[in-house]
Amino acid sequence: MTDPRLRQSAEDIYAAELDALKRGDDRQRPASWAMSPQAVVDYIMGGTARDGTPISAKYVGNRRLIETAVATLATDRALLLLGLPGTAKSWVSEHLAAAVSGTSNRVIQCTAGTDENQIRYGWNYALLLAKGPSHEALVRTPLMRAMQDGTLVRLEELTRMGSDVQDTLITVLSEKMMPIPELDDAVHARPGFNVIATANNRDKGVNELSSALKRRFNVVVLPPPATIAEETEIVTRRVREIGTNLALPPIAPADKEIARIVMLFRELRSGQTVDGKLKLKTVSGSLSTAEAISVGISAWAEAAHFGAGAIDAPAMAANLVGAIVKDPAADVLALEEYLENVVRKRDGWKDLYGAIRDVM
Amino acid sequence: MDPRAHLFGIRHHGPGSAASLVAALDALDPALVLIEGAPEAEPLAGYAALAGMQPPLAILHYQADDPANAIFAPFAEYSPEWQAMRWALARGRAIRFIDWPAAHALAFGKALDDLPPDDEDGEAHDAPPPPVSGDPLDMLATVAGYTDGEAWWNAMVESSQPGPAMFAAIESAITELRSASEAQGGLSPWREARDAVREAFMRLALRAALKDESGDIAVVVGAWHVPALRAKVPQAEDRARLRGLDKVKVESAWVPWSDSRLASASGYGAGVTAPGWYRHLWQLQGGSEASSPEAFAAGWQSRVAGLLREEGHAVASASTIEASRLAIALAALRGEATPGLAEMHDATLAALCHGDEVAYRLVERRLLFGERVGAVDPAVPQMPLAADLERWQKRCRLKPEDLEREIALDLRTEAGLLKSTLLHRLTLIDVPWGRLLDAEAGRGTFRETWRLAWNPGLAVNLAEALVYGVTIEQAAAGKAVAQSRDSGDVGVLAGLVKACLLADLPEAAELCITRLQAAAVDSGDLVQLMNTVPTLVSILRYGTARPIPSEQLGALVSALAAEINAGAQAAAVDIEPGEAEAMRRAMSGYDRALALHGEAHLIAMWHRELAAIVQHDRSAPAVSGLALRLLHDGQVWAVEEVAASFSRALTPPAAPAAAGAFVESFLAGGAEVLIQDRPLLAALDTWLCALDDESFIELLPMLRRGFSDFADTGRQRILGIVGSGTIAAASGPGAQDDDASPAFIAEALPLLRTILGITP
Repeated sequence: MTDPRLRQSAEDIYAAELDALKRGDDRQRPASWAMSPQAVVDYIMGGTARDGTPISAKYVGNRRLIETAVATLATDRALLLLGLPGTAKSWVSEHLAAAVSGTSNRVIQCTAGTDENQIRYGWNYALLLAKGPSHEALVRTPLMRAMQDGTLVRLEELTRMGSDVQDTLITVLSEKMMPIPELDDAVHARPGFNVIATANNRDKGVNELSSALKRRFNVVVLPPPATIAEETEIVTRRVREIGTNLALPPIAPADKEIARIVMLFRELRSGQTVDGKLKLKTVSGSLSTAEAISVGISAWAEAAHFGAGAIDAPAMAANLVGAIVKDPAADVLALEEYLENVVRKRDGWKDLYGAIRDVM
Repeated sequence: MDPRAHLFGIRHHGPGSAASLVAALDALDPALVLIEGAPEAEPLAGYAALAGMQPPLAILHYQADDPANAIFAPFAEYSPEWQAMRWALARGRAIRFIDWPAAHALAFGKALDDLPPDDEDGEAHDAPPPPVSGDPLDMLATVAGYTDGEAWWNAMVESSQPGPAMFAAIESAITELRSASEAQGGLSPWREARDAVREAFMRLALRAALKDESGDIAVVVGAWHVPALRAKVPQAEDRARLRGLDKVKVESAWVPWSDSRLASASGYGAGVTAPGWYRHLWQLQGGSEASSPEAFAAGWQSRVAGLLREEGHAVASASTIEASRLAIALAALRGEATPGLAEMHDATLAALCHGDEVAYRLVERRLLFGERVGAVDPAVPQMPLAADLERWQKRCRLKPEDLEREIALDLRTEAGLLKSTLLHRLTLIDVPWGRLLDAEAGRGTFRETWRLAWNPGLAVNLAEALVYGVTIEQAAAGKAVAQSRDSGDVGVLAGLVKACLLADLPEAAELCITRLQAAAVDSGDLVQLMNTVPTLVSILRYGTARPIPSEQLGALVSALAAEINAGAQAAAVDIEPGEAEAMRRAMSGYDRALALHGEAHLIAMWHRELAAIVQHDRSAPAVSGLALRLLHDGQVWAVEEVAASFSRALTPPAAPAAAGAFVESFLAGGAEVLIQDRPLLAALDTWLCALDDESFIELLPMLRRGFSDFADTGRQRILGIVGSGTIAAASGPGAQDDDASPAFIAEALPLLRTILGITP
């Protein structure tokens, strides 16, 4: 292997699939698109290209969501992908960019420290001081380059940057141009330019999207895994992989316990029991699949280093309570109600009831 | 087949079929229109042209002596049958209904009810895939990759000429489908048998019509039946099939229908998944001016936006435009000419709801189902509920009279219970013939007193209730269920549960209980929940002189109690005196109810919570006074512990006003606590004596209220104890026993022992 990169971009890994799809694609393409919208959907959902090349599924889930996302980009509306951690937002956005524009590398990672200069343009101050404002002294951002080239640009974790900086995007999204008042000039986006943003919809303590900006996005929410079996499968597999990577001491298989974690998370997340008979209070945390995985890992570590060598109720209890109770008043209430009405009465969950009660 | 017969295979309630059918009828101009429907409806068909007839409507056929056995033939304005009727009436053409008579259908339905239930469902599960589950066109659509029959029909209309050619294409598709289905073993046997008889009726009716009429004849039937009508079956064979069919006496009437009932596949024919959407489609296809996909999408998205705005969501017009564009782009992506419901939904979600399914769900019901309730023209005779009421009146021996009169019912007798059930059911459907006088009725008593007064206006209320059902029982249950769906208020729902139990509607009661459980979880109002528990416990405990679903109700009480127990402490902190008073009252009722309910772990939890309330510094004094009293009365805390908390609440830094409220709430209900438990009296005494004049005067009204409940003797005895200066001397209940027993009690003891048979 000669490639020195730790991780390759989507368009490099799947270059063969992209080529095959482009070759067999005779449907109409929007301006500057590398392939037709139908081919983009096929690329992400998997299938077979016209020449028989198998296309792997990049996203496992509802095809209609991806169709909505692609149709949004085709109508030159900006796309916002919302979802819990671990729902493949960034993954989907990277592949969309790779398929539509042929490159997924135009990314702006939004953080609390991101300022307007990183969104619009910055200045090469040496040149600015020497020659005054000029096009040469401009430092172009990925957004500006995308506008000039007519490609997609990705904004990761949009809501992590300040609201005032977010609003810089308003003109870009509605007028498709970016004024440069210092030069009395503007950059006009070429056809094919568009924005894919991702954001977490349950995180507390990040900036809200202003309604002015929100209106300029079509929003697609990527849901957590649809069925309990699917989610249990994902969590079990990921726990095994991560635990092995971390070289945790091996323990007895814990599939049954992980199934309980997933069930408990799903019930508290959805606000009803799995059988749908009882309504529950929901908790303030997101209880995402990613968190279920981390509870599984912590319980493994605890069981292996301090416990009986197998994940059991006491090993899970403290981690579960820690994951569920984020707000000391409301979440304790919800958990308390859940314990009394569900856990206590469920067959085979007595040990969990006792263990969690001990921790609380 | 005679070329004068023109078969039009339609999709029941399909706007696309309706539009194509009207166009085809205009082109053909037949002399006679035959419609799939029970012949009993023929005399009623003429009313369809009246101005006051506003769909959704239904023709109801019911067994004369048992209205609960009924079938409905519902019509929306976009139902092809309705459009065919209106077309014929507007041009003065004759109409005939050619399906089998409802007399047989009702008898058949009744026989089916008596079969073991798996005959209907089990078949469908065992057989490979059920060839036709609902509408055959839906199935063709699924095969062709469309979301439903309407989307497919749309595509057909787009690609071919509406009219005869189109119906021919559908006929050949259905013929294929039916032979494939027969090759697979057919539908369930009962359905095969039923369809064979129905189709024999239709063939005979068509034959008769051809004989009577010289002009063209249009036959409007479900697409499924077209091949069977076309089939050459000897007349004798058809006649043989009709022999020996059971029948019952049938009455028929027009009844108002509603969008939501149209949506449920009840009774007759296929249900409609989304009446609101179908109406929009009908406006596109049946409307006079042709409509572009753009206008179609924009019209729908504006409707969504309007509903969202009513729910308080800010939706910009710009977003509506984007939603329409997205819907059209999605349709193009999926290879469809006009956006279907799936595309509209996805677009709405992304562009109008910011991806938030919850916001969409707020409007979904109104959007897809609509809220339309049909109206029957006043000239049309309609009365099945009135007939049912008349039967009830005969059974109960209750005559409708204008004059007011009171009746007393003994619920232990069958007659009394029957009358009470009827009156409670009528109250539920808002026909207030009787008014229940004693509010406590149904709570551990066997008596109810009603004041009866009938006025003719009640007949109107009765007719309005038809939307919910055709018998008083069905209507009452239906209305209770509908109300429970609309209400999220815990108090209202608890009332509905009780009303359903009183009206002997156990199934509706169970649904209301489920709703109540859901609403209780959402409700943040603990006081309301606490007030709900006693109502439910009293139903459980004393019953309603009728069977009740005690297990479910018990589980609900336990769930509510768990929720209250979890939140009571937090709810008692930092509240206004007025709220504290409401909470105090709710708590004492709840405490009693919980004790009656008698689940040890819930009571233990409640006591832990009470202790937490007492121990929390910022609990409202009125609440924590009661909490302490309950801990004391329940003997959860020893008297020393109670006394310690008591004096902690009274001494500084507690403000005098707070201490006063605490004392008032602690003392409410009886002097015994002070007489028996001297440490409490001592603490109270010390506190009172330490008050400065100003605070004392300020607190006087509160103290007076606290003591005013005490009986005279109680007050006298407290005065005696305080006056004799023995408060401090006695330090516990044990010491007090010996000291305070007067000599005359000792003298009486030997005799008492003899009476009770206790040897010393």
